[in-house]
Amino acid sequence: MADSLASTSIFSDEEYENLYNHYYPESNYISTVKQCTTGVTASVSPVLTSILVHTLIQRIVLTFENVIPRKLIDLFIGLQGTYLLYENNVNPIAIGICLAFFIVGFAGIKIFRTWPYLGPWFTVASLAGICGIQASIDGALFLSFRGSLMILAMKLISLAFDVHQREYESISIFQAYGYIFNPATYFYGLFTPFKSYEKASGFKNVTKVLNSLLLASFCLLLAGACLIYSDCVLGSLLADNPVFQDFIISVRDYLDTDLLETFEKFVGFINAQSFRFSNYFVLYFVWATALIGGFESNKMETVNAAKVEFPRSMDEVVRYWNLSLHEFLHTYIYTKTKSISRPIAIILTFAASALLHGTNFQIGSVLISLSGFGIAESVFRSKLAHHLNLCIKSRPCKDNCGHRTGYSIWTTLATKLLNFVFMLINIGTP
Amino acid sequence: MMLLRLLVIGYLAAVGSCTVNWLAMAAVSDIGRNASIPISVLCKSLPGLTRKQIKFCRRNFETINSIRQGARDAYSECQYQFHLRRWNCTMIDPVSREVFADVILKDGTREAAFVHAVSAAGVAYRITKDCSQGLLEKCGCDLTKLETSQGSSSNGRQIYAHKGCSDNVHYGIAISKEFLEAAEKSKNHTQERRLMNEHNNRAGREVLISSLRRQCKCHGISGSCETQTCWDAVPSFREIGNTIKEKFDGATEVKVIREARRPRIERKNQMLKRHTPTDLVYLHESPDFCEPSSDRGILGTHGRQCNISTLAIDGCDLLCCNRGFETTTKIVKERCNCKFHYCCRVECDTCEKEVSTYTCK
Repeated sequence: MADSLASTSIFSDEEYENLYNHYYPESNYISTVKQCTTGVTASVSPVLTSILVHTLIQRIVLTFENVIPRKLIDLFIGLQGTYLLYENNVNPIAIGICLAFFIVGFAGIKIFRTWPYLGPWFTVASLAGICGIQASIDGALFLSFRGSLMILAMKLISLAFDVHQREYESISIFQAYGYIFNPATYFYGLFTPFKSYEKASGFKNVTKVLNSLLLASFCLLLAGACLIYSDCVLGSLLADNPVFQDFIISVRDYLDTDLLETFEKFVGFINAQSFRFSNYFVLYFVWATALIGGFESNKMETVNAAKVEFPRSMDEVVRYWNLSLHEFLHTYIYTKTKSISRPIAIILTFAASALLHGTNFQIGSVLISLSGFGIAESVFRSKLAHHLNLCIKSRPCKDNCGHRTGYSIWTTLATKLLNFVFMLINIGTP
Repeated sequence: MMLLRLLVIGYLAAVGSCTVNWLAMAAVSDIGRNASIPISVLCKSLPGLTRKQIKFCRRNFETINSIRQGARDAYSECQYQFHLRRWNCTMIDPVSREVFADVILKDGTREAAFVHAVSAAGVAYRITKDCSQGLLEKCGCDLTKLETSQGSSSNGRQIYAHKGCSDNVHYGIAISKEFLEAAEKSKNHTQERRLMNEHNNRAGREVLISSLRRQCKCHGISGSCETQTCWDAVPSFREIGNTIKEKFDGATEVKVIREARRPRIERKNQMLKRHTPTDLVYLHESPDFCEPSSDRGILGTHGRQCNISTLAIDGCDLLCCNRGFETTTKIVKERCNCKFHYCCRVECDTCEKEVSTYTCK
């Protein structure tokens, strides 16, 4: 009995080899990705569905614009946004701080609305306020609503600058409440000018509505894909994956230092890409909710992943990383300070962008280095474009630029080649 | 009629006297849902189940295939962990599909402790994994009770501890507990063995829980944390097997103290540290597995392959119990001196090598 049993087994030879493999018996990666997808979807879908539901309700309420006075609609939308926070178990301290910031800020705008320097000083005060809030609460708590606070401050700053104009002089608190706290744009944070909010309408024109809903569903799909890619496909490759870790440990002794460094850079690259795709997820989702919530579709582009991943220049990366943020900085900070001098305007813009995040050394240093590199590249490429007379500037040329590109196939090829080289330099930088 | 019933019950009781008989399910290839055969017949046809387990099978038929796969995982992991030792965890007779080593396991040895722990962990692990991959329908997804529990209130992060669809681990643990408990409550069992088995089963499940890694990632504008996505990464079963093997090496010998209220387990040597819920316990010392003994289900070490170059338990001295070993030399042909020629073929020579294998006498 002993001999026969020692040689037979309940598994076939093939099965036995597979199961009895001394090293890694099964491909853990695919099943880990599947597990991860289920877990991630389950943990994030309650929040996302509640935001979508509230956005739909917002849109429906906006449809009754003719029946219900707009002020009431604004109040309702603002309350909806606040309720959304409560529903998703956001810390009451965070909700309180945001509401307090809004009330104090709006009061300031109303009181000082005739003062010509309201804009700049309000900006300074808001940035100081954000840094103060960061200093007085727990770091993790601050991080949990930093995005929403940032956009809240930006919207108030835009009102502070615009209140001089006649159309905004008589802005009421209800309007501002709805503008800032509307569920379509408050939670993750999307900056829209006040005008866009005023123009937001319900389900009026059928073709427009269908088009925007189609675009919104496409954005939602993209958002989902980016989330899964960032969290699961890339995330499973990283630190805690036991298969990966064991592999590292077993080959570490055999890798020479160069390979090890390359390997560590590879890990860094994966981390960076995961961070970028997480950003795309948020921005595509917010684009979708803005469309569903009734904002006009042709101005709503929030991000363009392709242009960030394969950028023409650093300028393009910074711009398309978060279009609404870029638009705000350009309209309210850069344009207003350009009159002082161009370099100062650029410095102030980046300083404002950094301080909106609170005092964070990492973000500040990244922004400084990006801005420095971006400026240097832009200047260099302008000069090169001028000397070679080709369209290789940081921004794509407009139609009558007078450069030689397009005259012959050589010039086109040369242009494309040089742009490609610049792209390679810029790839993966964020 | 009455006699027949008594005979059947007697047979079932005899078969059900060992609590890991159900591991024989590992020998069955696949339990598919066949429309023509009723579930009760399919359940009864599975080898080694007790009456309660058959009842469980009827009520939760969709989990049985996962449990079967879990039994396979557990059995193969046991064989891997013990493949260099005298007792190499050969427990299932492939022909009769019976767990024949039950008599050893009846003795409450360390090996019994290991087998119980790894089988409990195996079933729970497989159910968890199958749930996460969507192969099972129920999976603890009780939509009426989707509670959200508040995390620590100092940070405002999104709550992820949903008692609902993503809690697959708890479902796996619950199934494993119910299925294995259905094997324990049989009359032919001493209270000591029952307590020991319960402890070791729980230890196996605890190892699974403690090996889970919660991965969380923040999502929000510019790296802020408006929402957090979390999921549980379950490592490979090999890792869990390794941990349980470590527990096996450090198992505590215990005795059962019958107290007025409830009997409890107490360690025999009071000088040693007290065992924890994740440690394995055993009642008796293991026999020396050298000589075969069919009534105890020991195969002995005659004919086992040993390793001549080590002094460990798989070396030819210890494994063969100092009986000596036989050397067989074979001449093996293999490819060597392979060269790549451009373009594009590989040319190899054939070398002959002498390979020696050592088997115990």
